[in-house]
Amino acid sequence: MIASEYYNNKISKIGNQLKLVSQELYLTFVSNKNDLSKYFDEKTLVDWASIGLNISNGSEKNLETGKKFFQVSSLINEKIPLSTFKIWMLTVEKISLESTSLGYSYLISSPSVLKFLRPRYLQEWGEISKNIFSGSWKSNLLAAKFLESSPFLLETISFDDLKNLAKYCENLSIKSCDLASDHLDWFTKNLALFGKDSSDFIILLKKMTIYDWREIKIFFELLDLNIQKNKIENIKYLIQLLLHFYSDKEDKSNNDQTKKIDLKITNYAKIFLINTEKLKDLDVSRIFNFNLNLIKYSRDASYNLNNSINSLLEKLTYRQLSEWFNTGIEILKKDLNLGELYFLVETEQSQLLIDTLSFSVDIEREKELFKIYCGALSGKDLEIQSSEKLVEKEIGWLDSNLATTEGTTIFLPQTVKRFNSKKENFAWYKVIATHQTGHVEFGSFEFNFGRNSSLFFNLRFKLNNFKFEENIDDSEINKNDSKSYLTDISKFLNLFDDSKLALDIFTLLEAFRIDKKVLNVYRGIRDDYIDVQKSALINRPKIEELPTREALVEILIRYSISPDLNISIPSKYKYIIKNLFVLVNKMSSSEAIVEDTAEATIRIYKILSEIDNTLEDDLEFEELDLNENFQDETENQENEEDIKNILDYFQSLEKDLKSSNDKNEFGESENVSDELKYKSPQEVEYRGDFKPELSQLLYDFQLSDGISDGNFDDLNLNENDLEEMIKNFPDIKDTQGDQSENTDGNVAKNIADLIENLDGNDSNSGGMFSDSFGHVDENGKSLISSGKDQYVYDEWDFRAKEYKKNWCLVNEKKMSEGESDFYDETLLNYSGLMKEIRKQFEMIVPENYRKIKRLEEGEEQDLDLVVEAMTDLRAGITPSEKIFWRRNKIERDIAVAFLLDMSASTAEAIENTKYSKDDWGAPDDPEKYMEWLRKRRSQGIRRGYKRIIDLEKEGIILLIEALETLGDFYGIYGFSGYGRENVEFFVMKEIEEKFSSEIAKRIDRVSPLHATRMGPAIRHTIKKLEKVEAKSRFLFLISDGRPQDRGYSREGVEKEYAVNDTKKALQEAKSIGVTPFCLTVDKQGHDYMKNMMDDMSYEVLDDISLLPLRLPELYKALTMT
Amino acid sequence: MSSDKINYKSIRIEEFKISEKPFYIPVADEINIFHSAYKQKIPVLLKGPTGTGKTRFVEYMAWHISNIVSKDNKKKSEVQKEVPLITVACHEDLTASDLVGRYLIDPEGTRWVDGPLTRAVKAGGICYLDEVVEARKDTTVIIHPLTDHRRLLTIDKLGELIEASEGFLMVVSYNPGYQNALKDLKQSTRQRFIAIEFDFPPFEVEKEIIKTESGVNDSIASSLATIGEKIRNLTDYGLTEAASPRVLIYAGRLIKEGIPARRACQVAISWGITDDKKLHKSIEEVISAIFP
Ligand SMILES: Nc1ncnc2c1ncn2[C@@H]1O[C@H](COP(=O)(O)OP(=O)(O)OP(=O)(O)O)[C@@H](O)[C@H]1O
Ligand SMILES: [Mg+2]
Repeated sequence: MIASEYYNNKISKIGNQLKLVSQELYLTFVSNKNDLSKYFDEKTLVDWASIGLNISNGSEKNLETGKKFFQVSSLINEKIPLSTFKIWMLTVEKISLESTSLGYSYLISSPSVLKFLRPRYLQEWGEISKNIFSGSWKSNLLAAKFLESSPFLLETISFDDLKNLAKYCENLSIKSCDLASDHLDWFTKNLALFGKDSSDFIILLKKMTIYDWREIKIFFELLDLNIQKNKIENIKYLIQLLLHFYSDKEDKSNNDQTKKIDLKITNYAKIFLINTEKLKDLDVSRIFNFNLNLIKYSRDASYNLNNSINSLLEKLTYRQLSEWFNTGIEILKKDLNLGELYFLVETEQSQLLIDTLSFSVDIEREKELFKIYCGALSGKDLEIQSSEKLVEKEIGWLDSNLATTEGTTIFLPQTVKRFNSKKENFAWYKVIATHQTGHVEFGSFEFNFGRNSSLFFNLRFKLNNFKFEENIDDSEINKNDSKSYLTDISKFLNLFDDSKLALDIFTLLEAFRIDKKVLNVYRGIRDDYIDVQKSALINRPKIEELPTREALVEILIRYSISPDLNISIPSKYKYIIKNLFVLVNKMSSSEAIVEDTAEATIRIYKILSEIDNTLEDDLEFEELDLNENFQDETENQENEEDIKNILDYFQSLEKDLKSSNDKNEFGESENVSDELKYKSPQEVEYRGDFKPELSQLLYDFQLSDGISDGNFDDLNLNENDLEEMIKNFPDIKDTQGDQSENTDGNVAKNIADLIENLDGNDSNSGGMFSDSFGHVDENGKSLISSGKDQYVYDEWDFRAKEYKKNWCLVNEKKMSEGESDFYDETLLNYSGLMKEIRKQFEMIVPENYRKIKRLEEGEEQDLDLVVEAMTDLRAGITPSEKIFWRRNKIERDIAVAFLLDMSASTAEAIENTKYSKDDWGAPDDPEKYMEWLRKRRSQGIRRGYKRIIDLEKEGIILLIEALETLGDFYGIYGFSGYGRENVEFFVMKEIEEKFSSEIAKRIDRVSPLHATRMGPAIRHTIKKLEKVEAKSRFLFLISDGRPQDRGYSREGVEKEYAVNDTKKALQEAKSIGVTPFCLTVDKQGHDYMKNMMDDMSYEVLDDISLLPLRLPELYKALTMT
Repeated sequence: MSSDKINYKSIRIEEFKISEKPFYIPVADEINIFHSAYKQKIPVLLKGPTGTGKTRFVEYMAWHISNIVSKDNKKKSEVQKEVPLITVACHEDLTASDLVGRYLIDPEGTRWVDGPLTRAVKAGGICYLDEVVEARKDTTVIIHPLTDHRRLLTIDKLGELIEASEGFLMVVSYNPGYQNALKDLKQSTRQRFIAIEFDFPPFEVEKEIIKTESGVNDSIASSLATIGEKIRNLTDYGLTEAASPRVLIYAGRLIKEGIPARRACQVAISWGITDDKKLHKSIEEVISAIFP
């Protein structure tokens, strides 16, 4: 009771004192007191009242502050617990006593800051503002501004960041309060752009105030410039780099002042930003990583790198650049000065390395070129791939430096850098690519066991019969009948005991045959080809050191590479060699086909296998007489006796085998000699790694529908059988011999897996080695339309090169109606721009007046027609009445359909919802300022940020206005959907429909939905345009990225399918006279648009915020032609 | 004024007869078919990509019919007159009166002048309408009665009907590739003609054509034909029209003039058929693989 009375007294006393100060103040006090007394104990109430009184005393401003204090208190009280409230009011008092205006700012900002700040930080927040205040009038303003900006800053940054920011202001204000104050505005406006990086950004700035405050102003100018250019990402990278800038200064121990003049941080920043400005995002991030690595060692080196980066990127691919960079780092570690110069490309070593690297030919750069080149040569759709890719598959090919092919893909080494000029390297690359393509063009993999050769008597058939007959009574061991070979080449190689020797002969003969054909047809690369062949003869093994059979194979190889070579041959085998050469030479006939290679193989095999593979010490050598003629004189007439000899030979072999089997294992097997195991010859680099058997297997499987189809049908293989059979390929036996144990068996299994996989897939999937695996379509059934607004369309399968019939179902819907606010607001917001656009469009009209003739009435008579009519009249026939002409506006006879991408990705926010400069008229009065800020934040951008689709809509709205001026016919459609059976097609406005407010309302409803299956949407739009009679018709596609949908494209897997279908759809548009145009805001757009749009026009907008502006411009440009 | 006579050759169109035997190598039985159609008065439609010899073929047939036919038909003792060839290149603004004829004013009043079609009908020649689909739609009104059993030409303004003379035959050409769907021939028009398809000639034939037309030697001709063949493989890579014999002949002619082969092919073939830089590069690699 007593206490209560005491406090009541106190309160009324304070009340009276307040009344003395101002009646109004008193009233504010009373009304809030009544409110708060419900929550406060009496003591707190008194404390509260006396603080109010305390700060109200003095000037007018004090009075205001006091009043504000009473007002805000109840607001604050609602939000925070009593204990914190007490601290808060003490803070108010403390600050106010130091500076009334600061206190005032603290008061007005407190409620809004509480939305983002924990109550317990309220006090600290006030304290840090007090630190900024140093007594001066300017610092007072600054501190106040800090407080008022805090709520907005805290929307994007944490309180810790805010503290750093305050520290920044504090440090900077010592030098310049104005600057600090400007920067506060800047932060409010721009900090959101930095996203996660804002903490680092602030830390960097803080450091700058310590070490480099004079640079700050320039630094911000740089930032502004680059924000304007929308290079935020680059700025973020820069910040990360700059954070390393002061590392040595901070590290006290490393304080040697002897170092040359320091690189200025702004210079560094400027060079980085300028040089990365024009680069693609991917490149920038790569360069950032280089720099990050480099700046730890030397800032100057990093600076130098940035200076030279553009010219480096022109010359080098990323891989090459990395190689050059890593060398530089090594140098830098050893010698700082030298290293820094290295990155400026001033040292000889640096220059030299760049030259060597840039002379090299890299598959990534040439892939496209060679795809078309090889496609032209062979007439087949060949893929180009790095050999590495094949080696990775572990299916038998081992050397990623060798070219090869399996009939559908040409594998080439990743890079070639054997010569010191690009020209030579390229020539070499072209030669090996041509050789491999030759295998495809001239049918190496089309070997057919049963087809007649064109130059020889077909021994194959007879030899096969021997095998076959022998096996009939041999029930267990060989169940293999003629059918059970995986490929025809397997069947052929199986004729020989030593299939490796046979394979080697076959390989060299086939390569020779291809060489000859290529040289004959492609005379343009003859010189290069022969150069390559000559160089292939260098570093061959010494014939004198090889066992005889291998020596002979080596001689054959050399002869096949270059028939007019100087070579010393063992005199003893002179005649045999002559015979061999005659056989090899037969392959140079223009009629030689792969079956001839096989026949020649049989003949050469017979000769070679009769020669022991021993080292003969006493051999005498002589130069081969090049004048001798190794042509076959018998002119295709094979000596019957020879044939008989060969047949006898093979038959006896077969018998031997059988008897040795009967007689059981060793017995008197071999009269032990120094016969060495036959080893395959060293490969010929330019001919690559030819594996006919394996290749034919893969080739057959890729061409056919796999096992379930064609000649594999009767095999009935399971995967294990397949694996067993593959293991017996000499192609693989060979490699397994060289390989360590662990890969044993894997290879065969991998191949079997690969084939099984292929079998499961649709036949029209791409080559098994293409970058992507085949396009997997969901159960391949055609669709039928089942309703009124359903339409089915074909889809283009670029691999199969045919349409998939009735593949997609389009559901057409009229867009529901929303509000017209969006429409109106857009017009309002862009009213300035709109005026400009309308003016421009109005100017089009006269430009397009054109005479139309043969009218019954018009502006004037057409002289030609009048003359015609007069002559008719004189001749006594009824003249035509259509003799007038008129300039006609309708002459501009244009119909356009806009197709908006409504895929989910258009929901993405645009990084910087920029405020245009002119509406930045911030009021000075703090309260109004707050009000203004708040309003500005909510206005126009209901979501608080804009999305891509919003810009699409805005653009369309502006265009509608413009189009209404022109009188062009236009339709507005949108599309999205999921899966091929569910393509959603929305109609906002049909082409023939008149504009009305409903349409504005429909546009409101355009919003992000699902996927992007462009093809069917385009086809449906075409159908609409087709019905319109207009002289020029356009299809205007506005999208935010590449086409994507389930079964249409999978991320990183099958993008090409979607792109190609879209391309096809656009071509269809073109073919019926509709001009397509595509505007995309996808920054990666440059990659695929070029391919997708072919020779059609498109634009990739780098700065999305320009879309509303650019769209009308483009439309104008497009339809003016 | 009159002293300096300008030296030029001018002939009336119905007197334009092919007297020199045009160079034409048949690819299939087209000569026979055309000849039979001519005898049976069945109009002929020639279709196929540009530069595949349609125009040349018509010229050849005009000569062939005038010469071979007259020799064949020895029984008809009277010498059959030569068949004139009247060619009209159709374009968007070509109207019926451009074909049929019109009145002109002259000092005495007016004078009727026959259009090329009327003249062909009267003279009994072959009237070759190149690229018919380009012509205005009103031309079909005239073509139809002329190309069925009636063989009648209506001349509205004269109020006349002219029956086509014995030797008259209408031949039209049409390139299905680049025409758009709207401009396709109407079925009722199409079905008044028999159609002969033209395509790129086989290698050996093309080689001969190039050799004869441009005068290059056998090996160059063969290389050019190879280039043609290889480039035709590229239609799946974005090439809309393949290299026609015509551009190969052009390349040959430039080579004959002494232009280096690779350069000649670049300007005549690579740049001639496409604007795509990527394709240029690849095509030029093909060319440089074939020509040294
Ligand atoms: N079978 C052929 N025999 C002889 N020359 C031919 C043959 N085919 C094409 N040519 C040559 O090709 C060139 C082009 O032929 P032509 O002008 O007749 O083509 P076209 O089919 O009429 O082309 P367009 O459709 O562009 O008018 C001619 O110079 C001709 O020499
Ligand atoms: Mg022509």
